[in-house]
Parts: sequence; C-alpha cells; structure tokens
Amino acid sequence: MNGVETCPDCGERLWSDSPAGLCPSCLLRLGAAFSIDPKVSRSREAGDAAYGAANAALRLRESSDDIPLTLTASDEVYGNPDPSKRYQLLGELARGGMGAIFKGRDLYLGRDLAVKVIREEHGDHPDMVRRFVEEARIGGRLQHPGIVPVHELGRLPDGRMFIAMKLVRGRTLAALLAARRGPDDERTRFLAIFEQVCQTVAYAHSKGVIHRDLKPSNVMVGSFGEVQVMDWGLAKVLDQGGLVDDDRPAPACDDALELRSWRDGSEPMESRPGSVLGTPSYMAPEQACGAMDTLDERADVFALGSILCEILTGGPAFEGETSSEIYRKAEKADLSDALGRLDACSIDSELVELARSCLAVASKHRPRDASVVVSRLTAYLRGVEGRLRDAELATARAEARAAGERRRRQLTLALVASMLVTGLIGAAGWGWAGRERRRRLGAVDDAVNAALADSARKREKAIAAGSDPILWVEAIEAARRAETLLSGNDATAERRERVRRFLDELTRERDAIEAVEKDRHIGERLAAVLNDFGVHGDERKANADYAAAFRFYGVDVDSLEPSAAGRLLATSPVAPELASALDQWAILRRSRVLRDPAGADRLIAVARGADPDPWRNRLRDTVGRTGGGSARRLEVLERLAATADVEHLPVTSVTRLATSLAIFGRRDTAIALLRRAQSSHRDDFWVNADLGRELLAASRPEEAERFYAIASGVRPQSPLALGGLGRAILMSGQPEEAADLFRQWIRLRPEDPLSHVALGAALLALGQSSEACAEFAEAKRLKPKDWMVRDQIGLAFSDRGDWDSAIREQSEAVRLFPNSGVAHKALAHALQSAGRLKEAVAEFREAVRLDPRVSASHLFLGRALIEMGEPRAALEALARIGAGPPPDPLITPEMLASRAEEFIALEPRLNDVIEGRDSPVNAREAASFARLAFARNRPEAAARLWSQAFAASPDLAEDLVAMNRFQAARAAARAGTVEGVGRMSESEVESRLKWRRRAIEWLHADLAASKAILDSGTAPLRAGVARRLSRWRVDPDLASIRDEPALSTLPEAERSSLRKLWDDVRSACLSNTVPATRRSKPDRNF
Amino acid sequence: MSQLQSEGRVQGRFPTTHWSRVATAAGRDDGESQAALSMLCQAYWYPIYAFVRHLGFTPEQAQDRTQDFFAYVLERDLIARADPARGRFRAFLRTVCARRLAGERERENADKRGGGRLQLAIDQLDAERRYALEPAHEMTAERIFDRSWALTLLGRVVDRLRREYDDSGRSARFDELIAVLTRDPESNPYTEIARRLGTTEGNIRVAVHRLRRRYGILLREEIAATVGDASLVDDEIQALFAALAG
Repeated sequence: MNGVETCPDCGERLWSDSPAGLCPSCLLRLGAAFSIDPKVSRSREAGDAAYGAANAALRLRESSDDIPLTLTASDEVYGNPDPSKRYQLLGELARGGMGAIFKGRDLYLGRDLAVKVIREEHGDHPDMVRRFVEEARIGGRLQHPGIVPVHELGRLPDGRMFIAMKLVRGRTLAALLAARRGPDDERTRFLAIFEQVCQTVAYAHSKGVIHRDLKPSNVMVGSFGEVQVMDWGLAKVLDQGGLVDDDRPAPACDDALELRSWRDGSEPMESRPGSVLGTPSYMAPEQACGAMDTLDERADVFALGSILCEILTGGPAFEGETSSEIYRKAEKADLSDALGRLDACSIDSELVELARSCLAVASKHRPRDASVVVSRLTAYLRGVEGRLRDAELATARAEARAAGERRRRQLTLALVASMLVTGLIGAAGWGWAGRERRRRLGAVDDAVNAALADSARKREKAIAAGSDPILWVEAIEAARRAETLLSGNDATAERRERVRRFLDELTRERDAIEAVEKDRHIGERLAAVLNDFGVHGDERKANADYAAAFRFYGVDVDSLEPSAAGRLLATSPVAPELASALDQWAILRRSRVLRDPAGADRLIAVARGADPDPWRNRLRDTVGRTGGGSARRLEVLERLAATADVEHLPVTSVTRLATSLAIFGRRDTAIALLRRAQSSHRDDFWVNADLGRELLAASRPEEAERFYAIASGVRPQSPLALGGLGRAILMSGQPEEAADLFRQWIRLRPEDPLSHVALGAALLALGQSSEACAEFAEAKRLKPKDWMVRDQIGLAFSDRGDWDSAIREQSEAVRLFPNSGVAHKALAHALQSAGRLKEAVAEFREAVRLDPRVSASHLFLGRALIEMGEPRAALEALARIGAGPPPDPLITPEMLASRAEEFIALEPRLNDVIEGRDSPVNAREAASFARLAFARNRPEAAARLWSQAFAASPDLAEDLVAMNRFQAARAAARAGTVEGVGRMSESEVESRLKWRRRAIEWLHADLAASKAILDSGTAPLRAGVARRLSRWRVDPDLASIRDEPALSTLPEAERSSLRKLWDDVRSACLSNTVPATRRSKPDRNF
Repeated sequence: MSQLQSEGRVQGRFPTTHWSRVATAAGRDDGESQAALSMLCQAYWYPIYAFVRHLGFTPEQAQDRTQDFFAYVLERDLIARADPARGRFRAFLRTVCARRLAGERERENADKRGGGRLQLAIDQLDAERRYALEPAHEMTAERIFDRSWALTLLGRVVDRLRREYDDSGRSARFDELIAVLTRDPESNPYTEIARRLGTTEGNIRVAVHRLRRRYGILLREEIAATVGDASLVDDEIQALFAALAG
C-alpha cells in the first residue's frame, strides 16, 4: 500500500489503482448526480452540485433541496407504529468512518431528515456500536442551535442501528474556505462563522463534552448563515475522574451531572489505547500521539486555533504533501510553518495572538476551554465592529444630510462623491487641528481652528439648506480666514497646504452642488417643455422653449458647432437626459408644422455627441429616418424593442421607442414595451402617461385610466396626466367624473383653452349643451386666433355626432389657418360624416394640395372619390400615398384600391344591370352595383339593387359598421322624393311612395339594431353607433323624410310616424354618454 | 493508469446490451448475444480473479480458475437460468463464483475445462500488479470482488470517455479535463488548465461540464448493462458506493 492519499474533495482514501487517478467515490457520486432522465441530466446544477457535496461529512445533494415536503404518511403507517418502518431511506448523502448518512423521509411526520446508519461491518463491533450510541446520546442531549438535533436512535428492519437527525442544508466551512480567492476574502464573515463555532464548542465544553474532531469539514454553514458543528462521532464525555485540571471549576450547571449520568451502568467509553482518531491537520499534538483518553477541552481549543489559523492564513496548523507527512508534523508539534504564516500576515495582532495561544504546544498554555476563546474573539470582533459602525454612521449621516433636502432622483453621484472626499479631508483636518492644539496652544492656532470650525458649521448648514448660495459663501469665507491667519505666520507649508486643500474641496463642493442644482433645474425645465407641449400642442412654442432652456443651461445648440455642443453637454451628469430632450426636440422639428429637418439633424448630431450610447444611437437613426426605408426602420425598431433592456435604459429612450413603434402602426408592440417599462419604473411619469395615451388610442380606456391615474399621482400638477385621465374616464362612459377632472385641470391652467374645450366635451356628453358652449366660448375668448382650439371644439362636436356644429368649428379653423392641410382634412371628415360628399372631396383635395406628405389625406380623398363614383381619380389619389407608417389602422390603401378597381370593372355592366339585361352574380356584387348606381345618381336602381342584395344575404343588411342598410335607405329616400309629384304618372307616384316606405322601414330596422347596441354594447361600440345615428339627422339625402317642409307634404299618419322615428333617433343619440376616441377617425362607411 | 492500460486490451468493446437481454437469449445459441456476453465476461474478469486470489490461490491457480469459472458459467448456460430481473450481473457472478470455488480449495490441479467457448485475455503480470494494490488484508473476498468490480466499471467508463475524445483528436484536452472531472467547481481549478490549453476559463468550465454530462451518461449506460433494469441503476450506484467504502 502506498501510504494514505486522500481525495481533495471528499477526504476519502485515494487508492493508487483509482481510474485515471480520480477518486472512485467522487466518480460514482458524479454519476449519481445525473439522472438518466434527459431533462435532469441536462441540468448543469445537478451535476456540479455533486462535487461540492463531496467534502462534507453531512452534505446534501443540492439538487434535492427543492423537493417539496410531502406528507407521505398513510393511515397504514400510523396504524403500524413500528419505529423501524418510520424512516424511508432516499439516498446516500455522505459516508464517514463509522456510518453512512442517508437522506431519509420521516413517514410519520412527512419531513425530510438525515439518517446516519452504522456501517454494516461495524454492526457487530461492540466498540463501534457503543460509540454510535454515544454519538446519538450526545447529540440528543446537547441542546444548542449550533448542534444538529437528534430525533431518534433506533434499528432499521435489517438490524443496523441508525440515528435520525435534522437534515442540514448548506455548505461546509471547508468548501467555503476553499472557494475563497485568498485569506483576505470575506474575513469578517469567516470570523463570524468561527465565532459561532467557538460558542457551540464552548457550550459543549460547559456540558463536559469534547468533540475531538473539530475541522472545517465538520462545520456546516446553512443557507441563512446558521452554523452547526457536525459529527460528534468522536466526541467524548469527560467523567469525574477524567483529566480535569484542579483549577478547573466544577461544572456550573446541573445538566453536566445529568449528562455524565448516562454512562451509569456501562463501561466508560474509551477509545482503543494508542489509536489515533481525528484529522491530523487540526489535531493537537497530544492527540496525534495517541493520548485519546487523556484529552480534554484544550485539544478542541487547539483544533479551533488551527481553524482560525486557516481562516487567517489560508492553511491549518499542519500542512504537508501527504497525510503521513501532516501526521508526522502533528505528532512532533511542528508548528514552525503555521506560526511563520501567522506572523507574516497583516492582521490585527489581537487575532494573531489568539490563534497563537490556541496553538500552544503544551496544552496548559492554551486557553482553558472554548468559552475563553469566545470571549477573546468576541471582544476583538465587537471592537472592530464598533470602529466600523462609527465610520459607517458618519458616512450615512453625511449622506442623509445631503439627501434630505433634495429629491432623490436629482441627487447625482457627483455630489455624494465630492462630499465624501470633503468629509475625509475635513476629518483629517480636525485630526491635525487636535494634534496641533495639544502641542502648542497658541493664539493663531485657536483662531485658525475657530475659523475652520465656523467654516465646517456653515458648510453643514449650507448642505442642509440645499442650494442657498449665501451659506456657501459664508463657509468659504470662514475657511479663507483660516488660510489668511496661517499665511502671516510661521506655519509649516504642510499645514498651509492642508487648509488650502480643505478650502479647495469646499469650493469644489459648492460648485458641485450648484452644478447639481443647475442639472436638476434643466431636467425639470426640459420635462416641463415636453409636458406643456403634450397639452398645448404648439410646435413653435415648444421649439422656442427648448432653445431657451438650453441657452439658459449655457449651450446654444443652434449657434455652436454640433460636435462642440455635444462635448459640452457630455460633461454633465445628466447628459443622457439632455440628449433625450434633444431627441424629442428633433421630433418636433421634423413635424409638419415646423418642417425643419436640417435643424432636427443638427439636434441629433448634438445628442450623439452628448450621449454616444449605441442602442440609443440606433434608435436615433431610426426615428430620424436616416436608417433606411420605412420597412427597414420598422424592422430595426422591432429589433430594438426586442433587445431593449427596459430596466436599465433611460426611460425616455423607451418611451421614444414606443412612440415610434406606435407611429409605425405597431401600437400593440408599443404597449407591450411600455408595460415592461412600467413594471420596472412603476412611478415614472412619462412611462405611465405614454402608456395611457397608447391605450386610449387603442380604444382601451379602462386600462388607460389606470396608468393615467398613476401618472397623475406622480405629478398631481400635470395637466397632461389630468387631461389624459379625464379623457380615459370620459371614454369609458363616466362624463361626470371626467368633468370634475377637467375642472381641476382648469383650476391648474385657467388660461389654457384646451382645458375648457375638454370640459365642454364632457358637458356635451352629459347633455348640458349650453354649459358646454359656454366653455367653448371661454376657450375661444382665450385664444381667438388659434385654429387648434376650433379644431378641438370641432372634434368634441364630432364625438357627439353634432356634425353641423363640427363643420362650423372646423370651417372656422380652416379660416384661421388656411394653409394647414390638417385643418382642411378635419373639415373634410366632418363634411363626409354629415353626408356632404362633394364638399368633403373638395376639402380633401385642398388638404392634399397643402400637405402632400400626409398619407391619410390621400387615403381619405380616395375613399371619398370612390363614394362619389370616381374610382379612377380615387386610384390616382391612393397611388400618391408614400411609403411609411400606415395612415389608418383599419382602412388600408389596398382595400380601397380593390374597391375602386371593382367599380371600374362593374361600370360597363351597370346600365345592363339597371335595365334588367344583366344581373349581379351574388349579393356582394349587388351591393357594389347599388353603391355604383347611387354614385351615378340612379337612386331607384340603387335601392332596388340593395333590396336584391338584402334578400339574397340578410347579413349584409345587418352590418351596421358598413352602414349598408343606411346607404340603402338614403337611396330609397332619394328615389321616393315626392317633389314634382303632380307631373308624374300614377305608377311613378306609386313607385316613389313604395321606396319612401321602404326607406322608412330600413331606418326603423337600423334604429332597432342600433338601440340594442346602445343598451348593451361596450363603450367604444356605443360611441360608434351613436355617431352613425347622428349622421341620420344631418344627411341631405334623408331631408325628404326628415325635414319639416318635406314632411308637411306627406299624409298625416305617415308624418306623425316619421316624427316619432326622428324623436327616437334623437333620444338614442343623446342617451349615449360616451364619445369616441379623441382623435376620432371617421367611420368606415362601406 | 494501470487500470486503463489493462482495459486497453478490450478496446472498443463495450457492452451495449443489457445483461438481462443477453441472459434470456443465451440459451438460444444466438451468436450476437453470445458475443455480447463474452464481452461482458471479458470486461469483468478481474474482480473474479481478485476474488479467487483472495481465497488463497496462487497467481497461476487464480488465472486458471478464473478461466475455468467463466467457461463453467458459459457452458452450463448458467446465465440463461438466472433470473436477471431480480439480480445483477455483479451479484450473480460473485455468488456463482463463491459456490463454485467453495469446494475447490482442496482440489489441486483442477481439470482444465476443454474447448472453452471463451478464452479470456488475462495478463498475469498486470493482474498481479492490480491485485497487489488491493487493500486485501482489510477485507473479505466478497468485498474485494465488489470493490474491484466498482473500480473496473469506473475504469471502463473513463476509458470509453477517453476513447471518444481520442477519436475526435482531443487527447491532450481530455488529459487536462479528466484531471478535474470530480473536482468541486467551486474550488476553481480551471485557471491553470485554461492557461495551458490557451483558452478561457469559461471555455474550460463548459468543456468540463460537457465531459461530466457525457461521463454521467456513460456511467449509467455501463451500469445499466450490468443490472436487470434501468430503474436499478441508482440502487447499484449505492451498492458500488458501499463497495468502495469497504
């Protein structure tokens, strides 16, 4: 046999015939960690955990840690209280000299525990059995948090003895020590663990028990820092006649007597004389010599010293290449190496001295027992802790003072750092001052010290007061006084230098705080610019506000070279925020109102210089349209969204990305992104406000309400949040609550016309038209020349379906700002919604002419032209839609183009169809012919074709969104116009009467269907239905069956029936309190 | 390393068939399963040799008796009569061997079995070198058998693993990696290897992880081949633990 090599991992004997020189036990353990189940064998943790497990005397396979505690006990188990069947062995955890330790399940209590089973070969060895029983008894009697509780000692069904004890999860101190990078690593933590070990051993000593095998691998450190001393298999109870020194006091507690009494009637538990038990690296020399029976507490003290030595120096008392070498050193008490290491390490001398005394060769020179070690160690640790705590408290106080008056978000690292530096120098200054005073109590020194003290006091006040410049001036002046006093004196250069440095730091600190104030101020100011824009929507004003804010900050971005401006801004601690504001500003400059792409590019160049973050630069490229075509940009945006590290990005980057995605029609992605951002920035104003905005635009007012409410909570003074919250609430059908919010908004911004418009809209929904009109009038009074006010009022009327009023306001907007394509487009929408198609087309054409880049204008012009029966012109208009974001979420150019092409294809057949020589192939085609015929001013043919279509497919009639039955009613009403009835033949009169009745029938049917939705539909559905119904009240084609002059020509019965219909329509419209989305798009009306 | 050298002789022949299936087919003169069975015997002759040696036979006698034993087992189709569902190849061989040899101690010069269907390649020197390393004085013959069985099995797995690396031209890498196969990853043994192999510590960590995973699969395959049922693998691992601890 080639000596006793041990495995470095598990401590098992390593035989020279081991495969590949590896430890066979570890090899098996490794295999055991991999289940054949591929799901488990894929788990890296399962495999790796097994290695760490190797070293422990009692060590868990960590993969089993998560096994849920299940109660497996059945009635059968309870009914059969055979203790030998109580425990189920689940798998071996470790193996020691005396027994194997299994993970077990207590079937009675359904808990996992550790079961130590005596090894088979020891099963009939009386010494071993006695030792085993002894271990269980010691473990069972020693009640200490540092000792694993023993539950039971018993026999397995096969007769082997076992000890059931608590299952300890964690790692051994040996493993933790091995994982250290060096002895300096986490020394405080290891000393704390060591302290707990000492306390546990001290407790055992107080009970007259010595462990005799203390070593790091017998110390378990649990997941929560709990420390337990394991493996009391070698422990020994000191009996009265044992080697107790005369000067050792009698055990203080009665427990000790009780403990000793276990032995009564059995022979003393002695180790075989001369046999060596224990682990040589930690073994006291007397133990290594085999004096097992005469060992006392001081053998444990030596082992503790060896552990401490390992914690401090990285190695135990005895080290060597082989076990035998280590053993020889232990036997000879060759501590030269360990003491050399202790002397060489740069640790507090108290600790080194403690380790040395524990490692004394002669046991009488060691501390008497572990309690002495504990008290010395504790005294040392408390001293260190006290010193540390004082230092930490000082730092914390300084930080608290600084943070107190400032909002936490604006406090930059620069400030904290500068204060810490000042704090240190200040302390050094005082140390110096104190020493100086002791040495020479001269008048100058007193004056200098007084001046410095004055300065320090004022500095503290200045910090506490925030940015009050006067206090800083006073603090600096006081320090200058000290400097002056020293300069006229024979003070040493060193002292002068120190005061000068103190003064410098003070000045720097003041500058830092001023800079922080400036940064905070610019941050708030830029946020306010954006905030205000969100409400007033005036690009020109926002542009001017941004420029003014940056000029105030000292950087005129429009006159400086962009790279120079970028460099200036980059030095600011809030550079990303500044760059973000520039990005937002650039978006404004690219807008249709400002149309300043060159100015935008300049801003982006500055932003790049100020904040060169690559992710944000890609976002800049994409938003700035320099990153390729729209498809490419959309792709990049989506990739950015997918890779966005939402938690760590500046929030503004996330919101900008989300806004861009929404612009590109990816509103769902935008909402998802903002939701992610919201979950990590729950209180961020912009994230919540933007999320609310997108949800509102997606017609999800209930969700929008939630996030606007948060935004409003974060910034209660924000009109943007208040307004958004109000709109969300209005859209979800609570106009009264909305009106309250809008009134708050008015209180905040009485001069803001839009607050009055919003309130007016809510009042309209409440049916309080005159109050609403008063608010609108106030808005107009505040900004009589502002087209946008009119536009918003127009939209408020549109939301209510009051198309006449909407057209009036939009016409006024166009008059105030005739060059705005957007204004013309809004007017066109109102006209088309009111059924005034020709005028609508004219306004759309004007909108397209003024601002050809607006895709939506082309789109809706195309749609109106199709309705007019001009499909070719429509195709031309649609062809002018540029590449870019979809102009409308529902209506696509392709959809309209195919409709136009269908009309072109149907046109040649139209006359034949009308004359009855040809007929539509299906209901859908019949409907198309009907629309075409109506556009060609053949209302009777149109009405007939609609009839055919509805007969063939009743679903067509029921499609309220497509408004088929309404269109049919319009055609029938025109066909039934009673004008010039006197000149007509009877059959013609009959036919007109028939169509008029048919028109009224269709309207009744539509009204009934609409009412059903108004009664039970969702808020957005109700809003749509109400808006469509409103059209009935203004559509010119229905005038013959609606308006008084025409009605008066009808028979009385028909007239009163019609009046009832229109009353119903009006009340149906008024019953709905939900307006449509704010920027409501016209309905799809085919 | 001696272990690996001795195993090198049966290169490339690892049991891929579970002994249970071999056993049920053994009596049917199925050439393929006979070959597989021979291979199993070939792989695990040494534990029998150690067992026999421990009973006090000389090296020459032990070699003869080992040959004799396997011939006996195969000729009598003992394996076919065994109930593999309830036992393991290891226990089976050990039990049969113990019975077979019980009465032979006095019987000098046992008749050589003629026409043996299986000729084991036993290298006497190698066998003795291995036997000399056994902690024989501390153990019973049965424990020696089990222990050397466990070591043989582990050696075969390591050898098979090595061959996989050799085959893909990564021998040098294997030699470095195998040295830390069982080391606690927490003890961070990879820095030095990474330096020697000119790669990063992370790469080594991953490579060791892969090696471990492969090792675990091979070990289980190897054990599964010697037990009746894959579900017994974990039990057998526990038994082998016990064998090693002896």
